Amino acid sequence: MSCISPPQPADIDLLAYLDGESDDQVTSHLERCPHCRERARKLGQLQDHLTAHLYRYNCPSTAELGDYHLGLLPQGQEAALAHHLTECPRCAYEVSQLEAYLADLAPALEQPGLLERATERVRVLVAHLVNGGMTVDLPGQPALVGVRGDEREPLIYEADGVQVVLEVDQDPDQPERRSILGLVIGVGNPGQLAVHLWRSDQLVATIQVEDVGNFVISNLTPGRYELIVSGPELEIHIQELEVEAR
Amino acid sequence: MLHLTDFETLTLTGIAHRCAQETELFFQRKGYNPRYCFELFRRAIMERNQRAWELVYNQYRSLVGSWVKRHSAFPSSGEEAQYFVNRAFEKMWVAVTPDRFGRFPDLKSLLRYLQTCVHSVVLDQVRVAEQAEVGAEADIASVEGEAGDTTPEDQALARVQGQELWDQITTRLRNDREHRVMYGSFVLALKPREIYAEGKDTFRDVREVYRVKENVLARLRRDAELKKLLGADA
Repeated sequence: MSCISPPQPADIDLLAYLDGESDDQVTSHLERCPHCRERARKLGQLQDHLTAHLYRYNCPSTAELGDYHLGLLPQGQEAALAHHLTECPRCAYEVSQLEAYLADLAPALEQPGLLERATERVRVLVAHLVNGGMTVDLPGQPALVGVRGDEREPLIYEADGVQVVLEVDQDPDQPERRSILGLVIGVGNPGQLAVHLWRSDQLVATIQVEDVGNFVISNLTPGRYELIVSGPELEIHIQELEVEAR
Repeated sequence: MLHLTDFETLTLTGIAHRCAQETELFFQRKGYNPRYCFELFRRAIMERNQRAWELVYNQYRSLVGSWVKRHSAFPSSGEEAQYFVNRAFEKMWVAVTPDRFGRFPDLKSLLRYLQTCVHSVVLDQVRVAEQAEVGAEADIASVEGEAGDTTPEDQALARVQGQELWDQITTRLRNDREHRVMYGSFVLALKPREIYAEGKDTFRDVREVYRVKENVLARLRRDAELKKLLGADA
């Protein structure tokens, strides 16, 4: 096969044609000449192969670009990457994209005027079991809601003068489940408190404490829990609460 | 009155709970204490504690999801936000080792790094798509595989193969102009017009860039060793 209309276009013209930048004469010739179209196809194939194997082969990873932008790279690596950015407009663009993205998200991490005032607003206390599960009289204190008979053994936890009294009982609606009946004593405004019950790193219940300090958490499966009493200025952690099956 | 909490006495659950409470205060624009969330990160990273890392994930996945959706490349990615959320956390877990943790003095710096990880994983997807397109045009399997399943090993192999080919090509180049044209054309996939725009001090016009490219490609096509390396029917 040979060119139908010599002289055939030079390779430089075929390259421009492949980029969509040839003049009308070359384009017209290629539409009519199978031989030159095949030449263009092979040239294009060579270019595609080169690009497929070489495209951005030496560009740093996106993680490295991120570390570079945050100043986390070792000195030598930082210098090498800085040099690469002078030669690679694609990486330079990606870094500028990152810069713009972080600037856009920056307000999400800022709380103007408040960070420097971050203090321990909330007293966080770890409570300790003080009665070992034995029956204890609590003179002068409200009766534990739901206590029925003195065979119950409420658990009394104490932290810095605050007491949390707990009783674990059979759930009245579901016999195979358990309920926790609780009472918070020694806090000025118990109605501001909430009780959060965690098990295996999952929050299973959040209950508001009543104004008189009592609360009930129902429908619990036996197991080990962590109970946290939270208020605007106080938090009490009961770290190991065993809810036993009957 | 300040009351300093002894973090050592708190369980992981307790720390996670406090972190959640303080984060809620932050979003309510109230005074908050970032120490608990920082402690959660610290335990996860310094102790390589998977449980703690899962708690970090649970605490921040919604926030990270919102960051993903704000990325300009996300809409065209073809992936769900949750995909990038998971990849971002994975990337941070791998990148921030105990010996690097000291580079992060506070919670803000850790969250900023997590934002950077979001950008990184979205960009990874963009790069893979670009590479797949390049491979498709060459009618060969992309050296990095299908979009989305690029492994670090694939990336390392591609880098080595690319370096080997480039080293072979550069031994056949005669001057800096040829180097610039070949690097721009095939490593950066720039058109001659774009190469000229970056190097007006080197090239007279766009046609000259084409001329240099024509000469080099003709030389490479006559090179039997290089043709074998490429496996191309040139």
